[in-house]
Amino acid sequence: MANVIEMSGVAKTYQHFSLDHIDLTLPAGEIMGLVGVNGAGKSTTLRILMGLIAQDSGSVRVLGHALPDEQVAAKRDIGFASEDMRLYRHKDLQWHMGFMQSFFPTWDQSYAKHLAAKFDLALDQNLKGFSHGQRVKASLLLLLARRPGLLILDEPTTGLDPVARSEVIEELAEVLTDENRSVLFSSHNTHDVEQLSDTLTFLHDGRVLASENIEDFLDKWRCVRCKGDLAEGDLLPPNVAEMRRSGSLVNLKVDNFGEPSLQMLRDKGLEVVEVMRMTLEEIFIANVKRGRLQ
Amino acid sequence: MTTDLVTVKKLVLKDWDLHQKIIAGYIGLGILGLAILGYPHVWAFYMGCVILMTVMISAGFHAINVTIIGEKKEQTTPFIMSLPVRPFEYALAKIVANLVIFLVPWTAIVVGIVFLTLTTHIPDGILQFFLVMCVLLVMNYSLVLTITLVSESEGWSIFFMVIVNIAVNPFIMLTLRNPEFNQHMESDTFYWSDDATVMMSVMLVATVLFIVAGALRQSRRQTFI
Repeated sequence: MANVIEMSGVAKTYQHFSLDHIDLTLPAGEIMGLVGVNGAGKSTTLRILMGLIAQDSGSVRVLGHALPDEQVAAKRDIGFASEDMRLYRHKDLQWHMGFMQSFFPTWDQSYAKHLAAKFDLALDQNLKGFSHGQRVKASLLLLLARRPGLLILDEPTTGLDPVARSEVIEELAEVLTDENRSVLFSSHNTHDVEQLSDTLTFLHDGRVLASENIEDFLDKWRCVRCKGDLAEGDLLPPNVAEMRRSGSLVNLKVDNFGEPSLQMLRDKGLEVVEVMRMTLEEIFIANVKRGRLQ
Repeated sequence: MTTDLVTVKKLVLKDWDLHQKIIAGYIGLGILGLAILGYPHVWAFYMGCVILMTVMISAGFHAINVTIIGEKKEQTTPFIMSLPVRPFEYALAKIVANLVIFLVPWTAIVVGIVFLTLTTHIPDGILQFFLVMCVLLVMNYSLVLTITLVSESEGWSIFFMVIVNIAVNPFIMLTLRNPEFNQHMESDTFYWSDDATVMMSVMLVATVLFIVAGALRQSRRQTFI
């Protein structure tokens, strides 16, 4: 399967932030969630992938085109929406649809109208009268009606109320059933990512902490509750990402969990009381905490 | 790198569409200024001159402010740059759209000034001064346009707007001290001096140089965010 996104050793330095040699690939037809806290480098990564900013070093290929040099060819088949991207406030949605149609021969007017009805968006109302949720939906409408092969969405659900969030997720889930469409979207909400993605990449402080299939993440991580006298300073196996004492219990967040992990804990004199699966959010937090220590 | 002029045209039309009301407003104010200028009283002449200069200066700076600074502040640039648009096409479209938005009211006012001067009580001899002043405003505008486009900074834009406007008064004084201008100001006969030709030529060349320099600088940009 060909990759629609290939980033290799991509670096970008700002005064107070650097993207540190990012390697990232997205196979065609796959949906990847890019998760990280604010300032992790998600938006910078996505903007580089859109050719909106140029990397200082490293190579970027999107849909087979080298960026930023071949950005026009790449952007013809990418639908991009970003949390900080705005439409023209003094124009209505109909005007925006006409404007987009002039750029994209693939524009599907009937689908656009279907989305407008589904999202309950007035075509003849100036966008300055739209709520934040309506503006997000309008942006999604404008990119989805182009029927692009690759969607790059930067925090598409940030700031939405629960109803708007559910509508957006629902529509995205429907759109993503098209197996030829690839999607990369960023979020700090692991719940959204879990609903939509096949794979997950954790980004923190400009670095990729981990990138894997969601099921693999959920299979590999466990929260292990033990009894025993393990001190804070005791040397733990490298796959233990976090340790917290709670009374006589020790809670451990363990990556690459398996029988050897349990044996190692027993060897340290701990009695394993309980082994629990972790949620994606817990895995994300454990990854970030481990990333901070590295 | 090739430039797709169809894309540039679409972006220019977009800016034209977004700013039609502004253009119409300045043309309306220009017509008001011309009406006052044509009124046969000394106060009307001075008032008309001030209004017309203000309208021409404001039309240019307003265009720069809304199309370049405004687009950046309102975060619509990422929307445009997410379309299949090259950074140079965006920059070129901004230059062309700005020139159109400025030059449409400017041209209407200049045509009105020429018509009024040659057909009313206003002395025909002052026309060369009027035209030199109008071209000065084009040069000032092009400098601020280039600075704003290259720096994308509201601060630098305002700074240069102030500088070029401060320079207008000394320019008027120096021009009016020139005998080629002041000896013909109140003449009923149209007069065109070599000095006027030289001044206009220098200003028009400077205008072209400012714009070309700005376009060349932008042509090297790979991104526009």
